[in-house]
Amino acid sequence: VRAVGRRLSLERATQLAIVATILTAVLSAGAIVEWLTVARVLRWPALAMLAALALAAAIRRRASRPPLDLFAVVTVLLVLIGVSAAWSVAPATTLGRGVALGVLLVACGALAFATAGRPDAVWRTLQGALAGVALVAIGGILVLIFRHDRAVVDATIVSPRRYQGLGGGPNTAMMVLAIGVPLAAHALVAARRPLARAAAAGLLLLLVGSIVASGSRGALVAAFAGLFLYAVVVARGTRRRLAAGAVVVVLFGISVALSAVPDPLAAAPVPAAAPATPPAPPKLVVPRPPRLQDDIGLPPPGVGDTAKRERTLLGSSGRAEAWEGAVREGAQRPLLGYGFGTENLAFVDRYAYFNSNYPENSYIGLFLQLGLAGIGAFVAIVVIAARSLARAARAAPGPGVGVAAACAGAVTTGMVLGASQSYLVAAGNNATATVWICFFLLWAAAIGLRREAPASA
Amino acid sequence: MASETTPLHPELRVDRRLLVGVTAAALALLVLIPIGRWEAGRRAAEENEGMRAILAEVGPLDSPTLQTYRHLVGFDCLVYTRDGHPFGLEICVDHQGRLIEAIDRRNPADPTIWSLRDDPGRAEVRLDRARVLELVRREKAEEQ
Repeated sequence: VRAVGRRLSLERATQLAIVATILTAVLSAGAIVEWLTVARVLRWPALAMLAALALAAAIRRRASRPPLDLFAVVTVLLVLIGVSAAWSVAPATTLGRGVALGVLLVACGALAFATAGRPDAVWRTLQGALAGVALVAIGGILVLIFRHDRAVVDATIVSPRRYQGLGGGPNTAMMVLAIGVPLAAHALVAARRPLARAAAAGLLLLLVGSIVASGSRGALVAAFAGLFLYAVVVARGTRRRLAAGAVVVVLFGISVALSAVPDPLAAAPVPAAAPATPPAPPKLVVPRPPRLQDDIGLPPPGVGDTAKRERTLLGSSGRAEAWEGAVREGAQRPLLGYGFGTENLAFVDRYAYFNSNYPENSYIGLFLQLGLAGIGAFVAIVVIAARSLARAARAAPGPGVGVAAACAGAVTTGMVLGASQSYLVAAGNNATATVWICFFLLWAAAIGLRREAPASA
Repeated sequence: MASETTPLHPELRVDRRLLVGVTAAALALLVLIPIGRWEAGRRAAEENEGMRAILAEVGPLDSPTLQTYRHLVGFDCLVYTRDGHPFGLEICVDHQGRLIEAIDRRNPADPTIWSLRDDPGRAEVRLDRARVLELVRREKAEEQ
C-alpha cells in the first residue's frame, strides 16, 4: 500500500510539474504583461522540477542499462549541440540554450523510460500535458472576460480581429492548444463515464474554437493534421479509417470556413476629431533610406507601395522571402551552421513584409544553427518517431494503440507547426516542452505493442 | 513512474554494441570542431572580401556622394548615392570601428549584402570610428 501511495504521489507531482512547465512557458510569452517577468523566471525552476521528478521516476524503474535507439540519437544531438559552442558566433548563448534543451530532453527521456511499455502510465503522464493545455485554453477565456483588450488583437486593413487568449500574439498560445487537440480527442475516445466524455468533448471544442477564433493558419492546419493522423491510426480496418479521415477533413473544412468569416477593416480608421491647430507647413523632406529590416521587397525609391496585402489562408505573411534569405544565410556555413541557439543572430530580418527576429520555420532555424549535421540528427529522431507510429498502426487493438496514436498525433501537430514557427529546439518556447513530452511518450507507448495477427482466410 | 516491483520490459534491455556505438559517435563529433571553425573562417573571409569591395567603391568616407546616415544601437552607417540610386551604397561600423556590414543597392530588386553583424569578432576591416561619428553628426546637423 505504501509503495502504491508513493508511486501515486510521485506520479501526481510529475503531472503537476508538467502543468507548471507548460503554463509558465506560455505565460512567459503571454498576454498579461505584468506576469511576463515572473513567468520568465519561474519556467526554469518548473522545468528543473520536472526533470528531477522524471529522473526519480526513472530511477525507481531500476533499469541497469540505459535504453535504446532514441536515447542514442538524442545523445548524439546533445553532444553536437555542446561541441557547436566551439564554432558558434555566440558560445555562451550556445552553451546556455544547449543546457536548457538538454534538461528538457533528459526530463522527457526519463518520463519515457519510467513509463515505457505501460500504456496506462503513459496516458496518465499525457493527462498532465493535457491538463496544462486545458489551463492555457481556460486561462485564455478568463483573459477574454477580465482583460478583453489583452485577449484580442484589433482588426487592421490586412487582418481581421484575432483572438490571442493567454498568448502574447494570436499564434502563441494556439501552438500549445493545437498540440493538445489530438490528446483531447483521445481523452474523448477513451472516456468511459458520461461526465468525463462531456468534459473531453467540451475541451476539444474549446481548443478548436480558440484556434479558429485566433485565425492562426499554422495552428489550424497543424491541429487537424494531428487529429487526422490520430483518427486513421486509432480506427481499425480500411473502411473505418477512411471514414474517420473523412470526418476530420470535413471538420477541417468547416473550421477553415469559420475562420474566414471575420473581415479586415475596409479602410484605415480615421481619427474621431480633426486636430485643433492646423498642421505646420511641410519642411524640406530629406530622403531617408528604408529601415534595414525593410531592405528587401520594397519598390525602388520614389515609387509608392500601394498594393493591399490582405492576409489569406495560403499566404505566407512574408515568410517565403524570409525563408529564402535564411536558407541563403545557412548555405554560407552549410555543414555545421552558426552554433546552437544562435538562430536569431544568424538570421537578420531584412524583409519588408516579414516581422520577426526568427525565420519562423524550425527546420530552417535548425539548419542555420547546426547545418546539415543538425538536420541529419533531427531526421534520425523523426525516423524513430515514424517507426513507433508504424508499430502502433499495425498493432493489435488495445489501450496502447490509442495512447500511441494520441502521441503521434500531437507530434505530427508539432512537426507541422515547425514549418511556420521557430520553436522545436528552443527549450524556453511556449510549445517546445509539450511536443517533446509527446514525442518521447510516443516511443514509450509503442514499446511492447504487439503486431496484429493477419486475418485468417 | 513505476513501482519498484515493475519489471523492466524486455525491449528496454540493450546490447553493449549500441552503447559502444553511441560513445564512438559522440567522440567522433569532436572531429567536427576544426571543420566548424574552418567553415566559420571561410564564410568570414568571403564577407570581409565583399565588404572591402564595397568600401573601395565608396572611396573616401567624406565623399560628396555621402547622402545620409543611420545611428543605431549597435552600429552606425553611412549611406552614399550611386548610379542614380539615392542609397546605392551603405557601410556600417560597430562601436569598435569594425566594418560589419556593407550593402550595394544599385540593383534594387536584388541588393547585395555582405555582413558579419552576427560574428563581428571576425570582421577584419577597421575604420576610424571617431571619423565615422563625426560624419554622422555632420549629416544629422544638415538634415535638421
